[in-house]
This record gives sequence, structure tokens and C-alpha cells, in this order.
Amino acid sequence: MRGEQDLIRTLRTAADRVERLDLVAGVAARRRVRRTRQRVRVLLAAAAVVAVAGGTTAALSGEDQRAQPAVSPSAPRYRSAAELWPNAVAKVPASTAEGELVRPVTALSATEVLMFANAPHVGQPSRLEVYDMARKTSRVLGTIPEIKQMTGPTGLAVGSRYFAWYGPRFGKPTHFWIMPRSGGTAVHVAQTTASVDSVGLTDDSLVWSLKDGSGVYRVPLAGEAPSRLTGSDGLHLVAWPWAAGYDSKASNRNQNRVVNLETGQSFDVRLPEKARRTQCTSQWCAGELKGRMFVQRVDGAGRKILPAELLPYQLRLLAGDRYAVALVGAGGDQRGAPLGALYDLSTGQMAGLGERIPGTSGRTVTDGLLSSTPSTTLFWPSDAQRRENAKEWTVLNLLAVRR
Amino acid sequence: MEDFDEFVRARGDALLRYGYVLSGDSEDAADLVQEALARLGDAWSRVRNKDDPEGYVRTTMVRLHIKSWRRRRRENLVADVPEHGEPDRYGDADLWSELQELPRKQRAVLVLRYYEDLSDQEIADVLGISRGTVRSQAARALDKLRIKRVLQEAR
Repeated sequence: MRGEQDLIRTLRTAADRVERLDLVAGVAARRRVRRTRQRVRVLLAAAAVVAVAGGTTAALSGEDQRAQPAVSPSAPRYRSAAELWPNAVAKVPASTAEGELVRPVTALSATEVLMFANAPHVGQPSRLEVYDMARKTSRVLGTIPEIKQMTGPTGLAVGSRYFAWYGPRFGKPTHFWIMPRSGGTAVHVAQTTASVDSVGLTDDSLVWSLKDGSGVYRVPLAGEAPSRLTGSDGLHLVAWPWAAGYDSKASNRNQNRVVNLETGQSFDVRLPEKARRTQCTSQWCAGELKGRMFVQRVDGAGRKILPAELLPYQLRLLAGDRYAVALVGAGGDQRGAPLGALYDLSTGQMAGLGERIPGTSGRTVTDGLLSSTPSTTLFWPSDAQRRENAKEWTVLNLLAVRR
Repeated sequence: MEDFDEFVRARGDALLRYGYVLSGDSEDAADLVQEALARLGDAWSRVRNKDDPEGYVRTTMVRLHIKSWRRRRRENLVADVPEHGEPDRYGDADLWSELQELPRKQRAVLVLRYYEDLSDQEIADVLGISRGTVRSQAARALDKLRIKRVLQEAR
């Protein structure tokens, strides 16, 4: 028989394992949606009245006080990614034969996706695998040595010859490791007591930047002492050689500089007034403007506000080198509406990601969050399951998308 | 609204922990906390001056969770859920997993009593039910979990 003390201990232990989260941005986003939804409700009600006056049928549901015009104005329909680029979409198992959760990290080529298999327990080794979309098979690349209090690394980068990763997220020191791209044994490269926010690889070195903006560091893979890159003050690594400067430390900060760490070139980002959360790759930027998503070139050219149903609520608004990613607000559980949308900034092509299944929740589009650089894979549960229970992912490999 | 953001920053971690023991799921916890905080934000000027903001959020969270949470359409706003480092096995793994099997109200009563350390009368006030219902729900839940009742006799 158990005692009440067992219950108290179980609850407290469980609570203490929860990872920290920056809630400020999420709460602000939700409050904006609450306000927008109230406005939309009023507008829809008005639209329904107009439709009735014009002789078209429209129904107002008395049950939930929500206007439901017969012709829905808000169910977005985009051609799906699978339809546009069948070779770029694959279904990938979400767990290993041993039952460990597996997630896409980023694409390695037009047919290969790097996958991460979680450690079964905190503080145990995890694993890197590669999924071949043509052969529909997985191959183990190697083991990621145990990371204190974690089931895997905090961030991972892909270089021309190696993978690099770091961890743990909290607690010191942070360790850096590499593994050959063809697979093999992990090698410890360096460690630091500072808080790391990104990792990258050059041809012969491992690079990282720090959360507090105190610079970008480089350590040769051949084994020498790490050194700070000159002129890297206030910069955060995005994808080597590109780094970002920000206008503040706030969670809704804008990127205001795009810097090439190799050449030292620095470009100012020209932002619209009231922009928030602007993020840029070497050429493109995406951000939030009055609750809508905007995209533009770094110099402000070609600025465009995306349709209102595209919600800028992804952690990362950009994927790969030229795509903006948004969640789709369908204005109700509308069958067939996509879960998310991809916008090709270079061509203006819009593609739907996934499909909403009425009565399900928690099926979101995610990029490979483990990837330290903007990921080249987007994925979502294929079935009606929530993310943590998914049996299979549908993966879009952006390296296989043809213009 | 700077002091509201400050409140979120200062109390966010504690609220997430509370959300996690309530729901047993980190994604639901993040969802629950963010929704409750959004509601607090909308009522901030009123709550800050008159009431206890943290009590307001905690009450909102437990009531939302019992009411309808899972059935609500998730608005895809849970962008911030940590992707890993989230253990699913604990030393008390069996008890933790049996807790997931309880009806929401029973589980909430246990969380309020054994995690929040509230008296049965306080739990009754938070949930808007009678003290007798709190006691019967707790007793039923403890029996299901095969937990011997000792401490509760003193309540």
C-alpha cells in the first residue's frame, strides 16, 4: 500500500522536471488572437447579415453565438505541398523499433533527412539516423553520448564533413561534440561555462554564439584553444557564415543586422515601424506586423503582408534559405484546411502543409527544432494523433523542392 | 503592461510546473498556462489592484482544465513547447501513470491538496464545489491509486 507521501513526492518530482519556457511572447500572441477573434466575430456577423440581404443563404448558429456564413470566407485552400512537389514529401516512422521517439532535424540532400532518436531516459545516450526517402529506410549514423539531465542535445548543426551539437541547455558546462557525416563515433571538441544559443561548422572549425550577445567563438577541429571572432560583439549565429544582430534583448526583438562573419560585411535590416520578432536569413526576412506576418528582402524591398489567416506563431518564421512558414487559422475546425502554410519568398508560391482533421488538436507543423540553423524539413503528424503520440510524420524536404 | 510581462517572467516557471502536474502533459501545461495568463492579461488592471494575480491564474487554470480543455480546439499557438529533455519516466513512474488515468476533477483535487497544499475548504472554493464533494472525490481517487489515507484525516 502506498502512502500520501508517495503522492506528494511524485507530484513534486514531476513538476521539477518541467523545462523552462519563455511565456511572454506566447501569451502576447494569444491575447492578440483573442482580440482579433472578437473583431472577426463581429465582422462575420455583419457579413452574414449582408449575405441574407443579398438573397444568399447564411446561417447564424444560435448555439455558440458564432456566425457561420453558408459560403465560408475564411477557409483557406492552397495546393498542398504533396501535390506541388510529390518527390519532396515522405511519410516517416515517428518511433524506432525499440519505441523511442524519432524526429526529423533537417534535410541532408534531396532524398536524405537527418533524424534524431530521443534517449529513452534523461541522461542516457541518444542517436542520429538518416532516413532515405527513395528507399524508405533508416540507417543509424551514431550515438550521441549522454547529456546531463537531458534526453538529447540542445542544438545541432550540419557541416560539409561533420555534424556538431551542444548541450545541456541549462547547467554548466556546455559541451560541444562532432560526428562524421558518414556516421561513426562522437568526439568531444570543447566546452564552455557561458550560455550558448547556437552552433555551426566551418570547413575546419566549430563555431558558437552566446545568449548574452558577447560574441561568436571558434575552435579548430584539429584541437586548439577557442578564440573569439573579432567584430562579433552582439552577434548571434544563424547559419555559418551568417549572423544576426538584434535591436533589443526583448523576446519580441527584431533582427536589425545581417552579418557575414567570413567577410565582415554587415547589412542593416530596413524594418517597417511597429515590426516585431523579425528574423532574417542572408537575403530574406519575416516578422510580425500588427498581428499579421510580413516578409521582405533584408533592405526592405518587396515587402508584403501575408493573408490574415497566416499566423506568425512558429518559433522560427523562416525555413531553409527562402521560405516563410506560418500556421493557418482556419476559423473553425474546417475539414481540408491546412495546418500550416509555406511561402516561397523567391517565387511567391504558396503551399498548404498537412490537413486539419475535425475533432483533433495538437497537430501542429514543426520545423526541425533541434537544428541550430533554419531547418530544411517541416513535419506534422500524418494521423489524427497529437504530436507526442504520432506514429508517423509527414515530412517536407525543402532541398527536394523544385522551383 | 510592463508589470504584467514582469509577472509572467517571474511566475511563469512555477505556473508551468503547476500546469504540468494538473494535466500530466507538457504541451497541455504550456497551453493551459498561456491561456490562463492571456485571460489574466486582459483583466490585469482590475486583478492587480484588487486580487491576488497568481491565485487568479491558478484558479483559471484548474477550472479550465476540468471544464473542457482537451475538447477545445487547440489554436496552434503552442509554438514554444520544449522539444526534448522532457522525461517521461520517473522514479515513481507507476504512480505518475496511474494519475493520468484519473478523471480530471479527481486528479485536480489531489493536485490542489498534495501539491498546492490547500485545505479541503480552500479546494472547495477554488473549484466551486462543496467541501463534502472535495472529500469524496479525494477519497475515491486515493482508493483508485491504492494510497492509504492518513494525512487527510487531519484536514
